[in-house]
Amino acid sequence: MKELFMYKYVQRLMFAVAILIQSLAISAQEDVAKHQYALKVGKILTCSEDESTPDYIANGVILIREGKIEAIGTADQINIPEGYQVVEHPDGFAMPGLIEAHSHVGGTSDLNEMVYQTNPELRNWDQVIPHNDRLKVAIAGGITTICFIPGSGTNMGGFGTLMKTGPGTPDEVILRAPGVLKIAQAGNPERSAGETGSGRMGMNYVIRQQLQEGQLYVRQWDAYERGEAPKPAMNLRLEYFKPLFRREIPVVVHTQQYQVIQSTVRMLHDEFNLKVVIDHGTFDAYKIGEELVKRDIPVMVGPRAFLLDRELGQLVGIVEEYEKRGVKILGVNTDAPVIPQEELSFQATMAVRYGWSEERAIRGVTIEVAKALMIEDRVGSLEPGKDADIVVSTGSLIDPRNYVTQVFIDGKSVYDIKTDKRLF
Amino acid sequence: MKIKTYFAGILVFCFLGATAAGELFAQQKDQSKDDRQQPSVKQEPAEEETNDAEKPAATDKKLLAIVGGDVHTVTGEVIRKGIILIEDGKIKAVGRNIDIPEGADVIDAVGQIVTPGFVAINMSGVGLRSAPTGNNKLEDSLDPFDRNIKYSLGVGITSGCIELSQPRRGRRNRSNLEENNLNDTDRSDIPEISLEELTGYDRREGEPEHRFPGIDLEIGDYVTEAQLDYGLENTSLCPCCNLPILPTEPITPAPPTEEEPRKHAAIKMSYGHLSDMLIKEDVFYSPAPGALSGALNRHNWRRDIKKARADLEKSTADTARRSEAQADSNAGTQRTGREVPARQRNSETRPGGTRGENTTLTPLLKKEVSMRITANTIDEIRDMIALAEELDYKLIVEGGIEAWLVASDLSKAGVPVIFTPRQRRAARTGEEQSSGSSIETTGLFEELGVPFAVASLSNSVSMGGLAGRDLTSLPLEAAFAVRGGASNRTALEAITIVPARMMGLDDRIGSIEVGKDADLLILNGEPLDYRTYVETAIVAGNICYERSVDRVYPVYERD
Amino acid sequence: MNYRNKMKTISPLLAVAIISCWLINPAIAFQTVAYTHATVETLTEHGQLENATILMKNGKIVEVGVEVTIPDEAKVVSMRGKTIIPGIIESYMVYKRIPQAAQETETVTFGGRTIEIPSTRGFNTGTFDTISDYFYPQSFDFSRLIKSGITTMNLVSDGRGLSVFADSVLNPTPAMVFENKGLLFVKITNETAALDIIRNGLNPRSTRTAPQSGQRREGDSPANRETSGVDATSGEGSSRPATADSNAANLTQALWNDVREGKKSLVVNANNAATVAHLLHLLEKHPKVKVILVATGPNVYESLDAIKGSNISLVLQPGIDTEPYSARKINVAKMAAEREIPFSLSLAVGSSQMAATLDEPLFPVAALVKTGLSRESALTALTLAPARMLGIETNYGSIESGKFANLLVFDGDPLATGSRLNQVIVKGSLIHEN
Repeated sequence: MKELFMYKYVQRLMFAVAILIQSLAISAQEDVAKHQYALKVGKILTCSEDESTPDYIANGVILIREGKIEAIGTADQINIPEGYQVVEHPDGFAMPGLIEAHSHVGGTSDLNEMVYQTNPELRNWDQVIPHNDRLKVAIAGGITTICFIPGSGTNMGGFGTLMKTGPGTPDEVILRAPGVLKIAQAGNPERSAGETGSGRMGMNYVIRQQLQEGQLYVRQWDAYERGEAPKPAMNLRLEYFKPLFRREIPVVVHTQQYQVIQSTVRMLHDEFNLKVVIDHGTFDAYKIGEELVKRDIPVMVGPRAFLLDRELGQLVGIVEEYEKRGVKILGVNTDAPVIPQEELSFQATMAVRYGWSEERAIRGVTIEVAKALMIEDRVGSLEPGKDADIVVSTGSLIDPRNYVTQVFIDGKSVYDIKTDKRLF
Repeated sequence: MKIKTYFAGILVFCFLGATAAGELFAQQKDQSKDDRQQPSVKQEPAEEETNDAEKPAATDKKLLAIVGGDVHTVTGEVIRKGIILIEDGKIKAVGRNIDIPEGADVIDAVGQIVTPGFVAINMSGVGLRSAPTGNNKLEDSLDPFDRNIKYSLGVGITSGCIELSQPRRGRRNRSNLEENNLNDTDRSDIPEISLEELTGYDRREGEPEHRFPGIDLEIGDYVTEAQLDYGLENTSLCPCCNLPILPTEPITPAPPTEEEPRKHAAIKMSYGHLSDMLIKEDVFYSPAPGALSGALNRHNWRRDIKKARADLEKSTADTARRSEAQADSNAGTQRTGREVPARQRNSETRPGGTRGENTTLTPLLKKEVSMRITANTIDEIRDMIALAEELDYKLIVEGGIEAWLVASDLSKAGVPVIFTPRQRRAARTGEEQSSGSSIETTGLFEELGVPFAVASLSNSVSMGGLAGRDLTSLPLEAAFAVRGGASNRTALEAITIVPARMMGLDDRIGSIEVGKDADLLILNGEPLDYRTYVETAIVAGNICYERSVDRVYPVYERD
Repeated sequence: MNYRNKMKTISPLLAVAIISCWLINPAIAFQTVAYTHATVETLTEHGQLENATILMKNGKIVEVGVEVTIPDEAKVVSMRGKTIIPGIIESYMVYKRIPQAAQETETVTFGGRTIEIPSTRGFNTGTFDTISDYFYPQSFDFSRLIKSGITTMNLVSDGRGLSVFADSVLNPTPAMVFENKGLLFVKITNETAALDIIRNGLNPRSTRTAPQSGQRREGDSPANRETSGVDATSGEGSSRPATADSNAANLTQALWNDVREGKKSLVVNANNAATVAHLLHLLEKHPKVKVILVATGPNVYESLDAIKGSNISLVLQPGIDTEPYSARKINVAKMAAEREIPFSLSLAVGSSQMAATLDEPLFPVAALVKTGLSRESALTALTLAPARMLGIETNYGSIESGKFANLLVFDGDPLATGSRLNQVIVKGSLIHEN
């Protein structure tokens, strides 16, 4: 029932147990040291939005403890305490682990159940295969967190999972479940003629009807929890709408083209007051940028990156067009495996080639994505207290000539080209 | 000491160059603008015997100077703030202290980088609507106004090897779409036809690629666009969004049903200048992938080669006996790999007959062309090397996914590789260390001295919106070669001089040297930097692309 | 100024004009007639004449000017408020389309079905159409042309052959043709078979010794060999009656000779931009050859610089074009005029376009003028330029003494919106009245 909260409890409990065991067992002392790192890097790009952490640090040190960033600063500022394993990358370039907003490679590939037109009862965290082959390569591309979502075969594909790419049990790698709701508008979920949902009018009706049902259910439970109403009957089909309508998780919407995004905005944001993330936003959809800005709706562009504008007769960079219209939370995605997961940074590369700025591009694969997915308290930047998801590379990953040398996820080194075969 | 003088030299040069060039710019900028408005009229008719009486009187030689840029010559050193002088489409002089003749048009490249035009070793669907069929000759099928030429020039591709005989690749040939719908109908007798052909769809007159004629699909229908790019047989669909999961290794065509070799021709991206377009036909002898695998195939191949060699020797002996006049005409018919001008070539020498036809193999035996064949696994590569050594011809390996495992063999045999750094193939279970692709292949190639040319993931220009995977990603693919460990210089060679050498055209393209074709790029940054744009592309001495004028790629200004 | 004056006087004079129209009848062709008080676009060095008189006799113009002495026997028709321009000369009128049945068919698979379609595989060289051989004007509707103000036309087919020149007449008869041996015309594309027609034609026999066996396809008509000239006499078409073949071959040989020597123009319809480039490339070696190039604006605009200064004149469709691959508008006629390339505007190339503008046939031309083409160039492109291109400028194309009285009477400025074409006069007789 309370999956989300249960998970938190379990996690805390596990931490507590772990710390207990560690403090008791002397033999475990070495293990602790193993995951206590002092990372000395030539350059650090923190992507921090907090003023206490500078955006850029030369000759920096990151202290990692218990899977979290303990401290970050220049080598002068930070004294490395005893028991920390020192990892040196004097010519290295450290940045937060990359975050993918739209991925299908987190587990098995049975992404679509297409019996019903809307499937809020489906959840994909049982499909997760931690550290699978594609994720191993993804780590080599610097990706540490992905939003693993169901497909767009129906208008509501189910609830997706936010997960780390590193090794571990499913419980260990899952960052949040339910992570997001997947809604698909237009295009793929179109059904054959003669059914509702063979056109956009019908599909929108189907989505609205389902959301209305869910909204009603959550309202009943809210009333019960406030002691205003009797306990409603539990409905497995609508259960995960609770965090959605309480605005604790966003809905990522497969939506592209100007007109379709119009309906996304009016339906999901204006009518149902959901946290909305535009998840493809391609073709000429950028033309609605101003409306998105008014509503603070994030846009994750991909996998397409440019449009042949037939008015001008030239190519137009989609991300840059959003940027010009003032969209703030702006990122790129791969829709892996459409574009291989490890090429997320290359999607940013191409966005820059088509006009975007490099600074924004680096943020557009880290902190901006975290904000869109509402996990910016955990990942997306290098700040004390956040998960120690750190990518060390030979330079900015936006330049395809640079490559990843070492990756930390939750404070553990999961990829190191000194010992592992270079995968990307 | 040396350094000091070097700097002094630069300073002196800067001063002289700046003053001299400054004056020239002021005078001649307008002139140069006018001049580039005049396309092919000035091109001298470079073909067959021209009637001298009819030939227009020799005009003044057309001079163009590119001044002030850092010149990456590729075969030589980088010349800081160099001058390139172009006369009638050829490079006349390169260096620092060159007098710019009176009347020359001057292009200011101060603060910019000048490189030779990139050479794409694998391209299709550029410069012609479709591969010539039937009796159509390539030279008659070329379209100097093909928009894809502009897209190619926009990323720096000024020439390349165009694939002519593979109608299933590239977005221009969409036959695979309907093929998929065919059930078990026997269609061996039914010719394949592309949608364009079927509907008489003229890309230039109609809206390009806006709607696919005949089928009710728009760009908004996500299914087909990229499928058309890559072909159904190579594409599996994403269960989420139905977009195709893009191939991460270059598409290998289906196993051959016929033994016909593929055809390649070298063409120039001389937009609007037809006479410069065709460089050379049949630049490779390219058996279909897999044509030489298997014992029977190899037996037949050995037999064919031996027979052809015997025929060649016999005819050479015959030729020697004949009178000189006859010998001349004979040599004409036996020379394939024809360079333009070659309007009146004899149809007998036209390859495309059976593999055993000796004239088809002659250029291969004479080592005028190389064999270009797809070989990806260790075994395939070793087999091809062994065959080439046994039968004595030049070999180029295409694909080379596992080439990193046999790089020393390639190095020893001196076999170059056409390679796509981003291509990926998972290792076989249990053979993780000795199979599959490696991102570090290019570094290993450089270390062991295996020459390689970089090819893009897809060989055609795609307007589908997926960026950085089609032909126009060529310089970025070379950047991935750097990611794999190659130096910037080697990676630049891999898209310039190496492919030129592979085609036997290194006397004309691929580097900035005196006497070579003036195919040059003026770039606003490092050649392999993802932020770099081509500002000006010069093909055969003519300005064929200017970023600010053509507005093909977005003109966002960077700080 | 002129225009404003005209507008002031137009309404009271309308009644007069209508009455005067009544007075005209076809018999006037053999009388002496004087049109007075007209605004006349002479298309000569006199330019536009205000309040001018045109004196005609036996279908020819005797005198034009402001001070013309009108003989006593002349019938005087007041054209006050009217504008008279020379009749429009259509330089490329497709009289005959190649019937679909004549094309090869092929079987293709499409969408899982097997269907027969006209062959698109390879260029269909077709037969050599000598238009005068089968000129049956009853089978063709000339009325739309006449209503559009076309008084003279170059009739061609959709393929290749020899055109005829004809006058518009009230009741079409074969007699309307005044030039049986018009111009060689050919429609090509950038395919080898198509370009070979021109190559073979332009290159004298000696340089092309052996016919390319690869070029001959099954079903190639003997006409193909006729045109190429070379083949017909090389004895390969032995299965055909030798005399008929060689006569035809001699005819086409002679025609191509004229083209080679620049005595007559060659009309080439090029169907895409690449074909234009190929044609120019072929012509580089034949600077003497005069070509009338029929092409759409988007197909030719990028080649204009190459065409400039050559022996090529253009036949364009009037109207604003769109640059390929974008929505940018281009005025190709204006671009041609700037480069001093002779060009004519063909009202009939797109016949549907013509049908839509019957009342105001010059509307698309007016659009070109609005966007920068000079008025003079526009009117020249409809009249004198095509006359020169067809080589009939001694009798056609302008209003001056000695030329045929082919006149269009408009009730205002012909290039102004709302001006109607009132009368079409061919060789002095009224053939259409609106």
